[in-house]
Amino acid sequence: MNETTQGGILLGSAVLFVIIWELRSALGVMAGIDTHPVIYGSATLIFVILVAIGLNLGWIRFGDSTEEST
Amino acid sequence: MHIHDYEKIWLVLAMLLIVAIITTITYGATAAGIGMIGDEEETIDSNALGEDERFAEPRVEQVGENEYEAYVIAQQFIFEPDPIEVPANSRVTFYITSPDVLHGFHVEGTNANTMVIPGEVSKLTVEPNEPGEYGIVCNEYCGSGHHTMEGLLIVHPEDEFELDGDSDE
Amino acid sequence: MSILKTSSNWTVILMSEQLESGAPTFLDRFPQEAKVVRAALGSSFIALFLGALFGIVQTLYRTDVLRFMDAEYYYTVLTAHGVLMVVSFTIFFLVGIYTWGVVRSLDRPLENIRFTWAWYGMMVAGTLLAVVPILGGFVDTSELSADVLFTFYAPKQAHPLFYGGLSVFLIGTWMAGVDWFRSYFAWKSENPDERIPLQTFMALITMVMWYIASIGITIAVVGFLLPWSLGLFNDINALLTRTLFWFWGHPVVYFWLMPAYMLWYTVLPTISGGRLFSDPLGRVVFILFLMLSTPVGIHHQYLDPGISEGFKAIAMTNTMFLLLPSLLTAFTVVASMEHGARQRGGTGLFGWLRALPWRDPAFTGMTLAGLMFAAGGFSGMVNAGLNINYLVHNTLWVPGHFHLTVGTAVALTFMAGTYWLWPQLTNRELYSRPIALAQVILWFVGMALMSNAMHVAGLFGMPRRTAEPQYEGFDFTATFGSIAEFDLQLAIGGTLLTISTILFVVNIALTSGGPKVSGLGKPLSEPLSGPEDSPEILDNLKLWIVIALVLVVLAYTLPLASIIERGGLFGPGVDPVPMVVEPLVMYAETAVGQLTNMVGGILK
Repeated sequence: MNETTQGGILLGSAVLFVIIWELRSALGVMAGIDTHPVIYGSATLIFVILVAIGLNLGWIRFGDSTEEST
Repeated sequence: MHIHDYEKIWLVLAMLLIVAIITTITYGATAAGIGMIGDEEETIDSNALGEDERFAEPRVEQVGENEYEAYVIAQQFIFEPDPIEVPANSRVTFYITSPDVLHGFHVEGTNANTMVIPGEVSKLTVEPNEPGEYGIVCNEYCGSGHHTMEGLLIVHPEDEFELDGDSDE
Repeated sequence: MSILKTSSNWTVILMSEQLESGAPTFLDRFPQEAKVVRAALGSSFIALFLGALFGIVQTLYRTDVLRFMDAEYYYTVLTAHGVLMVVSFTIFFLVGIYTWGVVRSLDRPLENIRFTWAWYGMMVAGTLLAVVPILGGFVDTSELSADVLFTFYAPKQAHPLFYGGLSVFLIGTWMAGVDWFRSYFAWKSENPDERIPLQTFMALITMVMWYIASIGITIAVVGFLLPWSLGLFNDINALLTRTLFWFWGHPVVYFWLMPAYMLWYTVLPTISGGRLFSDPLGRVVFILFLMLSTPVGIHHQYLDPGISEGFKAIAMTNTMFLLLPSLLTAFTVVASMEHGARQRGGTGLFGWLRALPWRDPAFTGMTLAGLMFAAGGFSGMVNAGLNINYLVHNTLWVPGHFHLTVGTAVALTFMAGTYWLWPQLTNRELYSRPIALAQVILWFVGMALMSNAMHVAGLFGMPRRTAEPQYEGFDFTATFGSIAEFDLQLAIGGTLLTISTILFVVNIALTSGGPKVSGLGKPLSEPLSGPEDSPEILDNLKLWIVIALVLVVLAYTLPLASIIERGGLFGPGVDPVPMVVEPLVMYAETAVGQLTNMVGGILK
């Protein structure tokens, strides 16, 4: 019943993007590491898109493995 | 009342977290050598700052071997004196008040930050170590020109510092 | 019922997912009450929309992306944004949602619907009265102005209509509380042995907190600011009125938050597919808010001269304990969601997350709001840290914090709750579920960007409430990235939020154009651990009121007495400073008048 749905992927992508982007501030403020915004942002975006595609195509599975495809 | 086991654990952890935070903050606010803004100074008539010996002439004064006092007025939309000049490696106590509305006094890049309330005198002691120029921002809305209100704190290297007795313009 | 796996067809998913219960809606059962609730919620959405327009003007102005007006009007915009968002939007929503909750949970109509419309009318009248002078700040030649910001600290002085309007609005909210207490007492006389239904309990506790909190603001406004603005006296003790403001100013944030908590406790479990984990703990949490919300106001004044460190330390300690009800809520909400997920077939340590109804904008909105609240709560703890506060006070960090809390935990929950409730108030389907889902996600992303930029820029020293935070004598030092970059991020985030607001308002507005259908009722599930499991003492309102009052007296008597004793009731000689834009205009007019006379004399 619980395949990863597209709405869920969209939402999860948004959350993932936010988390990774916020990590940049943590790195900067706490570790003093400066990262180029455009490079970091693009890398985050690409990563999130890849994860989204992976979830969509079933390459990546989230949760238990008792999935059935309809 | 039935409380789930996990909930009991969570409750205990939450209380521990709260107590830990209170402890560290209490340490930081007392033992770590940071003085809080308090009520040690008496109230002052904001319409009669000219009659107060400190504020009639905003200035920096030496009061000890390595101790200075800075008498600062914050008003729409300037700080006086401007710039405030002190030597490095000293203790400087700021006394700040206002003749008109609320202001803020924040030395940029530091935690030297205080409200300025007409009728009250803010007393803030700092130990400037690094020579340099530090911007002072009014960070409490004070009127239409609030965003133009800035000052400057110049920390001179110790050997280059000279206190001149005349007031600024 | 089966969930179809599909790549594109939203409608098909909707039809199979929709829990068409066939139950009568709130509108069917309580048409008169539904009308009031719609009016209140509608008013809140209008305020939200207008507030958002002002918000984007601010965002683009201070980041120097778009400046199309003189800098001084920024503060007029800021006053409007603040008042519309945190007074009008939030509180109109509260009175709507609590009216719904009380009527629904007591299962009885309001005692006197005319009284209800009267308090609603008071709130509308009060808002309009206050908004007129605020907007008057845009008109140079007008005497009407209130460029004092939401916090209206003396000696800045607004037009008396501003204070009068806020007073009328406040009285309207008190009357709303009376309305719900009347319903409760009437119900109780017919049901003497029953526990107070949870939603009513929450509404009543919230209102008791509000009455206690109102003491401070009422004394400040009615006792000082209003007569002072009318010219009845000239002197005012700025520290005193500021302290009285914050007496109310902290509990008001819980006034915003508690309706959102009510939705998380009583609605979110059902839409997660399950049941509330624990009703008694919900009661405990609200009682904790009642007791702890008010005796902490001085934590907004850590940097104030004239208040001793001791009083500030007491406020700090009380404030830290406010973490407790929120952490308890986090547990209960997540536990309830997990229960719902497992009811829907979810398995595994984390796998159950996928079984949740993520395509439901009401569910997703509330969940994202709760997630963001966790971050906001922790940045709030930084603010509450007596010594750490020195680094962040009056910097952009502070708006960063409260846009996460009131701006997301509250606002986004309200919007998500509306998606769930509005069809039951109107008997019409929501215009578009996909747009609603996009809207809540957009809000989350936009707020994450904007708030992140605000927090970081604040740490670098950038001040809040400042039209043009670009200074001549120095530059802010960014320890990573650059100020320009965070300005841009702020502007982007704010833009996304504005788009999201428009999507919300339009979606709700278009819903009214849809056809009336039946069967949209959505009954709420019963808690796993119900009120019968909770000690009766929790329902003993009188006890909690007494304790709350004692705590407030302990927290405020000495500080207030000290302030009055040191500076006098009317302050050590402080004059009002009216916030009239361009007083130079008056001088100019006089000069022009004299010049005209002179020229006229010459020409004769």
